[in-house]
Amino acid sequence: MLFLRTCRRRFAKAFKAFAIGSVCLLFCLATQAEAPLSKEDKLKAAYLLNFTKFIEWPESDADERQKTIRICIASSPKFLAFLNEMVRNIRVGKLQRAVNALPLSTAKQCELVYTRQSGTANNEKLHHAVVVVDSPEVKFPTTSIVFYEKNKKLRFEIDRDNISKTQVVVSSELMKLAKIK
Amino acid sequence: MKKNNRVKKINFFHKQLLSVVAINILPLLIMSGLLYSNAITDYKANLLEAMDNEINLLVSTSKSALLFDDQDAATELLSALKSYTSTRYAQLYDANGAVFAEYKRPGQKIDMPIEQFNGEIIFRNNNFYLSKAIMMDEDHLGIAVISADTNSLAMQKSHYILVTGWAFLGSLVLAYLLNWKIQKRFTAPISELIGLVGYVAKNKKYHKRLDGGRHDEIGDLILGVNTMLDTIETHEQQLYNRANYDELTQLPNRHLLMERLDHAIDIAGRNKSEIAVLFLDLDRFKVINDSLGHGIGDELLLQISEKLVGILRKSDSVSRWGGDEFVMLLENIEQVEDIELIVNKVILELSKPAIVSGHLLHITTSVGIARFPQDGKDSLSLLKHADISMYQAKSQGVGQFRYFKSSMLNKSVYRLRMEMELHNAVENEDFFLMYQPQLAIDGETVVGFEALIRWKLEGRLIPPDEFLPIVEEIGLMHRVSLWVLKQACQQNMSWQNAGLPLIKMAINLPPSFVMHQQCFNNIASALAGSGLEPEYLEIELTENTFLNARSTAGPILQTLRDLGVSIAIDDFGTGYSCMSYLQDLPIGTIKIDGSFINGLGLSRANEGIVQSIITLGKSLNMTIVAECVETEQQLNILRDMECDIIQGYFHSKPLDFDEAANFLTRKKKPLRLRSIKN
Repeated sequence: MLFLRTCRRRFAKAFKAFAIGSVCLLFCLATQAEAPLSKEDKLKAAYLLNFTKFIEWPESDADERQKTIRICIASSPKFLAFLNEMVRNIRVGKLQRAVNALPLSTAKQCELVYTRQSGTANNEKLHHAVVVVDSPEVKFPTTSIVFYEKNKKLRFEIDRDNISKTQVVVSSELMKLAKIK
Repeated sequence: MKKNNRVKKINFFHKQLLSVVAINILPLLIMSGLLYSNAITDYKANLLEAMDNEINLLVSTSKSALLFDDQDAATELLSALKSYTSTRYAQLYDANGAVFAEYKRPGQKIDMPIEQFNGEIIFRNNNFYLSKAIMMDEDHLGIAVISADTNSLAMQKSHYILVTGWAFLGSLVLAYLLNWKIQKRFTAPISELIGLVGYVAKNKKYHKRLDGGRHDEIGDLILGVNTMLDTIETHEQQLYNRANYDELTQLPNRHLLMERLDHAIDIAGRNKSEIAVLFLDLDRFKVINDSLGHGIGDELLLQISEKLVGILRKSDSVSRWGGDEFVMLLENIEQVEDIELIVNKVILELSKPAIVSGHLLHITTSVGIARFPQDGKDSLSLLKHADISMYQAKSQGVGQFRYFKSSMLNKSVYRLRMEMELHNAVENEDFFLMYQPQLAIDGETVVGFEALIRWKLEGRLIPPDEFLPIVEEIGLMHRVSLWVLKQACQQNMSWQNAGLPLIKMAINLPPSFVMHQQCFNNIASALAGSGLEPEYLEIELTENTFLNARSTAGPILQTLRDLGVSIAIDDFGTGYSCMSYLQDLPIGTIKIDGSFINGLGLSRANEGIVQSIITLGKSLNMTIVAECVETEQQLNILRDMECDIIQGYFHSKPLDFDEAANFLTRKKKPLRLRSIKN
């Protein structure tokens, strides 16, 4: 009995330790799998969405899908997922366009491009696309908006020449917040 | 009460002007109030609208700052509100209700928590508060809050009060001036009217008129006033004429005379000059008036007044004092001869016969003269003395003039007393009759008596020629004559009742009595009252009775004659030269005037006149009576001339009642008059 009792106690302790360890492992795995996006990225995702509210793209006679503002992301999937979650059911602008986030790599056409990587201007999908780069260090030929940090706050710079080439109309509201290049 | 009196004393136009201005004040006040209220409301609305715009702008411009969490941009945005001086503070709250950015005017503090905002304008503590949600499409980004003070509104209120106050005052002054100007223009004719009425009321002069060249109500008013003034002026002139001028002759009356006389005395007193007052009284005018009627008398007065006016110098004036009395005022007399020249001219001119309605009238005037300063210092005394002088002149005979002497005052007083006593005598019947016998030429037969009136004053017998003119002048002659008539009839009847011989009673009646419309009734009544038969009554008339009233007297005398009353001409030969009336009128007896009888035996011419009268009377089948026979020589001559009846002191003086009765008893029974003629 005592043995049994001792065994039982040992088993209970082992089980308890196992359970605690399992919970901790699961927690660690879970937290690693759901690794939160940084506040800066979240802000940048929000800024991207907000950009769509202050930029008017030229109208096209494309199909219904053309009525969607496509934000093409060349960043981590988390960022894309976060943005996707953010833009769900969001409609912006006079035309109340829907906003859609998608990977740049798969996108056929983009209205807004966000990239963290330097690169070269690519083909048709960037036509009329407003290119937003993650930082001044990111070099992209047709960059219109560059994120930068100032006083620990996220700010952005607008390249007037490049953005004008995209034939979009940028709201003065946006312009007044930006550093103009 | 004092306030009411003061209000009543305010000029009418001023009151009207004040009333109009007061009435203008009301709409001005209302307008000013409305303008003020409207302006303040507008300003407040503008203020709120500006505030609304402000917050709308803030909302629309702060979205991006909120979206991009750009507080610096938001703060900068809010700081732009500095230019809005009324803005106290502004805040931006984020979607979580945290203050995102804010702006505060120096000295201001946040005094309302976000929870108390409700999206509407809140007015509290003289401040406005307004909030508005900041939306981006359907996203709630935050809340904008603005608070503004009302200092500018208060200032604006003061400003509007000042402006509307000045506008009100300016309008008031303008309204006053315009109304004053307009009223002055409109009421100028009324002011002129008031001035005219005031002038008329103050000066009692009605000659002014206003120009009535208007065709409105005021023109009608002016026309009415002018017409009234015309009427008043005419009436005034008529009143003045009535008050100052004689209606008949249009000469100044005694009222105007007194004014002129006072004025003349003033001037004469200053210039040390003399003036003369001539008091004229027409002789025997009453006879003419009574016998020919007032129409003829008035016509005669008119002719006389014209003559008097023609005689006057430029400096003189003549007025009608009343009745047949005139007063002439001669000024600037340098010597007495000037007065006498005019007086003589007056007497001469007036003595010239006047033809009035076919009647040839002879009139004279007696003139009394009083001079300034020696005969009186004032108008009343001058007139009184001239009047006394006139009576003195009249007592001297017709057509005389006399200057005033102080001794005349005594006579005047005496005359005044006589007048009073005569009034009493008439009332008390203090007169008595004396009877002078009339005998046939044989001296034995009593034919009749002539009743002669007598009057004793304080035991003294007053001669008839002294008191009878006064009786005539004071208008008692008719009553006295009536008394004589009744008394004589009763005496005669009492003698007849006493069995004394039947005789005829002769009584003298003045022309006025005969001309009186009741003459016949009076005589018939006296006869009936006494019971005397008309044939025992003879009335003696002077020639003057026929002088002026032949046509009137004829029918009356004929009626009396038909009644049986005898008619005799007294004092024949002294009056009217035309004797045709002897033939026309029913005259039975001629009494030769005593002046002719007194000359018998002294003058052949006189005897010739008497003889002619007797022959004339006989030829007309009249009885001839000789008066005042005092001597046997006169009696003899008259007998030779075949005179019928003798009367005079030769046979008997006038007798009293008893003496006359005795005289009758002593004489033979009188013959019938008709038998004497035969």
